[in-house]
Amino acid sequence: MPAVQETVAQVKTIDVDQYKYGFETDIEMVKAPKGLNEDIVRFISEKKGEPAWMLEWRLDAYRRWRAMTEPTWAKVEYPKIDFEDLYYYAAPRNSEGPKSLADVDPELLKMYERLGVPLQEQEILAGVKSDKPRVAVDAVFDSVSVVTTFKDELAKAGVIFCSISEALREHPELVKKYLGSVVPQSDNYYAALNSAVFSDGSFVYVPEGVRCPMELSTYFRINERETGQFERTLIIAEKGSYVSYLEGCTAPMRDENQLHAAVVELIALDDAEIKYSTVQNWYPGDKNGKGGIYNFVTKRGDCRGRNSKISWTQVETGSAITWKYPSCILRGDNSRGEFYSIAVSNGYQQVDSGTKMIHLGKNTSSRIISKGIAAGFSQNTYRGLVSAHRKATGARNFTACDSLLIGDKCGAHTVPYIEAKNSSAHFEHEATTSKISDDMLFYCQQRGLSEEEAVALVVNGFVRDVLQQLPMEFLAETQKLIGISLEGSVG
Amino acid sequence: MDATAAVSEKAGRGMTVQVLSTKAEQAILSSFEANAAKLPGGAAVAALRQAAMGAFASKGLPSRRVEDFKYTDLKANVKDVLPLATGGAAVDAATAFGAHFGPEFAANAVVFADGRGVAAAGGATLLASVLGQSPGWVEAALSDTALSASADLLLNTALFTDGAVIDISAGAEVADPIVLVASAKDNAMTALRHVIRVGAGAKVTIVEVDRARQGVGLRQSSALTQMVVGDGAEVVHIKVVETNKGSLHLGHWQVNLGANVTYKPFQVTVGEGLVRNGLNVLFNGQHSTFDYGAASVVHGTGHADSTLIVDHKVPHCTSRELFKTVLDDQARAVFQGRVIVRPDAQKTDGKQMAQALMLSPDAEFDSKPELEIYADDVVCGHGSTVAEIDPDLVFYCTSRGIPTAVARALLIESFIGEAIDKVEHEGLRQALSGIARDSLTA
Amino acid sequence: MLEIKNLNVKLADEDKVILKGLSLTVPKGEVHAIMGPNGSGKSTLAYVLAGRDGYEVTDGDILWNGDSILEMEPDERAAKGVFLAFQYPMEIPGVAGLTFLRTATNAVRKKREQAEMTTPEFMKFVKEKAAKLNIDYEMLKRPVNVGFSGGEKKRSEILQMAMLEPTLCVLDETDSGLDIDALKIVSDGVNALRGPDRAMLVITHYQRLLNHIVPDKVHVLADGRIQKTGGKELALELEKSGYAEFTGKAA
Repeated sequence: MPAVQETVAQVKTIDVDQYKYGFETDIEMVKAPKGLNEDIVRFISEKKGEPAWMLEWRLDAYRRWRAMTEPTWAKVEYPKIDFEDLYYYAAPRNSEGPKSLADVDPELLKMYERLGVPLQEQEILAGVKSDKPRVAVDAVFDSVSVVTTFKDELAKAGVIFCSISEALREHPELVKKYLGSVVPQSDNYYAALNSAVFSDGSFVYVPEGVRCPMELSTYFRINERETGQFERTLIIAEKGSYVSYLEGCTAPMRDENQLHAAVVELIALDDAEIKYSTVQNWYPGDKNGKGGIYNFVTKRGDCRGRNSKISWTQVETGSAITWKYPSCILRGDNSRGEFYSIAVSNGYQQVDSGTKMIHLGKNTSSRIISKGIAAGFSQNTYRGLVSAHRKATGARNFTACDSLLIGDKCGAHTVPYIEAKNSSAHFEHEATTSKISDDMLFYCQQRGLSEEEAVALVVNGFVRDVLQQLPMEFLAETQKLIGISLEGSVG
Repeated sequence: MDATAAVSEKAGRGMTVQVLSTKAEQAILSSFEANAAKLPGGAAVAALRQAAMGAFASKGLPSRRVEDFKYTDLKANVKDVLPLATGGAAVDAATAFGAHFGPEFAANAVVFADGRGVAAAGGATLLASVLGQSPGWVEAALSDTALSASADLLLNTALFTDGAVIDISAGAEVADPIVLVASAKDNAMTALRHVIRVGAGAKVTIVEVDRARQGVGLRQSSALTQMVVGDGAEVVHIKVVETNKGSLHLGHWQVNLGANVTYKPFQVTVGEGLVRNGLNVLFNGQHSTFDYGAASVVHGTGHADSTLIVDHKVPHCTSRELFKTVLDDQARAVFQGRVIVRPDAQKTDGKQMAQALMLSPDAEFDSKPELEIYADDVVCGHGSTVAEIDPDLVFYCTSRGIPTAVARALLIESFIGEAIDKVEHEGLRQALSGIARDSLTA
Repeated sequence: MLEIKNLNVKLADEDKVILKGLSLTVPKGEVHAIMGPNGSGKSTLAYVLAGRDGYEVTDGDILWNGDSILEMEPDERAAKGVFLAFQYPMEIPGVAGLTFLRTATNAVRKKREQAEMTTPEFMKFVKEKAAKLNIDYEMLKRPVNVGFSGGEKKRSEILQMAMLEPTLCVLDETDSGLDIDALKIVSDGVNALRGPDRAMLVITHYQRLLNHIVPDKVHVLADGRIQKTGGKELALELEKSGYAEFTGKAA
């Protein structure tokens, strides 16, 4: 069945609120008390069995956070968040032991199966399900990582892939060296909050010259009520190494808004390449704009070495509010940054997303392709910065931001900042905003497609440049996701 | 309540932190207080000025924290304030114009010497004299609340000493351009306010010239033009700003367009001073066209900022923007262009292009083309490029026997010429080309 | 059989009446040509047959095989066998020709309660049809019609027609923008689809297309209604005498 019809068929099977990951899982949880203070920070650190320096680092972040105010410049509106009315730590009761698939609560395994996340390591290794992609997964449930698959196989190649809590215990020297080196504790309000209370996340270390033998992936799931999720991801690619990493996110449907404030730091040394893909499908709220995730995320990559490359690809379909600017600091000479983005908003979603390309080294280059699709009553903003500093001679950037509007109650906005501080910078920026033309829809309908099929087809054509950047394993699923997100947007 | 009281009261309530913290801000306030009694207008205008200065006092000069002044931080850059000129010796038009405008322009020119119009001419009367007679529409225009949003505009309302009032009646076709020329003695500040009304179906070309010549003393000038264009009218609106090192020009045009209007503004900025040219255009009637062009050539530590807000409030309108800048030495240019398409403004067609040519490694160009769109059936786009002179093109020219320097000059001129070619009036295009060319060879 | 009865059509947004009581019958197995001067309503007729928005039928009816199609959506009409070859085919950026063809073919087959084609079946089918129309298979991997020449676009239209197996083919100015070689290829493609179960309506301004696609009947459309009907020789007469007679009548 072609993808479009599959999309439509799938759409028809889901309920009015269109969100198929909205179920809850009943698991016994351990929680810290509500609210945030130094004791909570100590509690989290102690739960994780962290070294003393880590606790100090967190407390430092906490104190800085207390002195900061929430940013207001983004084009998003929401009631003030009461940070004292949240849980900052929630973990399944049985998750604190050793982590292999056999030890994981069967309820949890069932949940991941329902989400379509491949945790069946043995079966795949044994060749039972050979059609499943070979992807190593770190599954994060509320505040903690519950299992990481394929660890042994990766270890043979020298790749470390584990939860960041485990990394703090097993590889403290690596964490200490790199944590906060790209996104400092006081970088911004949400990054400071994350630095104080992050409970888990993924850690990847790829040694010199190693090409990571499989896709790495983290699957984030918010389950518990009134709980913030604050994960921290740290990926280090040593000289000449390569890694491709994908994160997926879902959450149950709830009337309340839930906070997700993650920090991702990437470090690419000489000749290394990191490809980071996100398929973000947090619960977007219902059709009246009630509930949904507030997604305030800081993602930044540091092309620290010469000829290094960091590529961000994101497909943003979920969340009530998205505030997210995956960026590249192009420090190493000849380094390259890429940002490919699809942001789909429907209902009352608000998206303010984009990137920063900071050119510091010589002959650095960057490329930004952003596709925003606004439907329903949503607001969809691209906000981006391209800057070449005085000494960044030979900096190159190409930016294309295209927005598509479906319906006349939504908004699409483009706010680029282009700063060339030396003459050899060569920047090109173009942006367009348009709607799906009636003529094109009629043409497709004349060939037998229904209006919804036609919209899905045209939209998939519109975003194709970006979809091509996703790892093959996730392409079909993502195409479907985009179709589902736009369900109900025409007619 | 006087302005100082407004400040202290605000501070007393703890609402505003550290306003009027700089020497320049204090000096502006003192200058206002010293001159308030001399400024033209009756009680209503005086109250308007008072309120504007009060509002300015609570805001202070805009710093980079004010989004619209992100790249042009007046708080940091305006260190001193020159004394306000409230009238002085007459200057002849030819001197005020400079070499490039032919004598034919002088006939229709109103010269403002040291902040006061010398004589009415070419259909323009003087604001200071009109205010005495109190025609309602001029005073109503002065108190337009759209002008109280930004501190640089409040400053003009508080301080303007004169300006032109141009009232083109419906259907009139004014053959010769009406020219407004500002000139001033060295080391003075001027503030002019022009109020223009173009009747339905009328055709007119209006030119504003503000020159601070190289080698002469410093100038600080504020010039605010308000224009309402009636249905079916065609307006060409030109501005030339020449500044020298250390000088400051704060210009702003506030324009309301009726239906079926063609409005073609063009702005040329050259020199080494600090220039801010704001332009807000509001489409009030359908099927109108806004066709903007700008060319700037900036040298030394010059800083030229063009900030546009084009507000498509109604359907079926077209906006075009072409901005070109050539930057040498440590010069910096800023282009901010926001296009807003309101929910009902279907069939809007908006295009924007901003291009910088960098001649020196230390030049800087900051560009922020912005789209804010709430209607779905629109075609909008923008582009922005930054580059050096294309070495391949230079090589191509030299391989055909053209010396490198000539080839570069040729390419730079053709770059800027693409914008200036938008000006259809032969004499004006020649004048603008001449000004740009002089500046390129300076 | 196509039956158009007293069709009156105006533009939905303006008070402009375009078709003024047009009546026409095309039996299965026949090819009819509609000729007429510019602005006579030829393209409007094509669009109204296919169900495009923007037109309002104020009176009359269109029956296809006895059923009125006026209330049907364009895709329902397509499933019912109506195919319009556009005068200006749309370009669809980012959507590969093959994807488009497969999606459309299977959508139509599904609505006709036929089995959808498997990928190998489809590939075989499309390769065969493309070869006949002299369409390079590689071209189908490119986005639909994007960057195609006029001739390529028209051939791609006829390929879609062959793939969707319609029973009523409406060709709107299919000869415009074609050189003589392309015209021959396109006409051969159309002629290959002639058959006892298929009706065709060929809309054209010029007679030359009708040398290649020989019609059973020719209708002259002017001022919104059929002014004259004749055999294929009528086209030759029109070529000589022009439309003056009919536009005169209109005035």
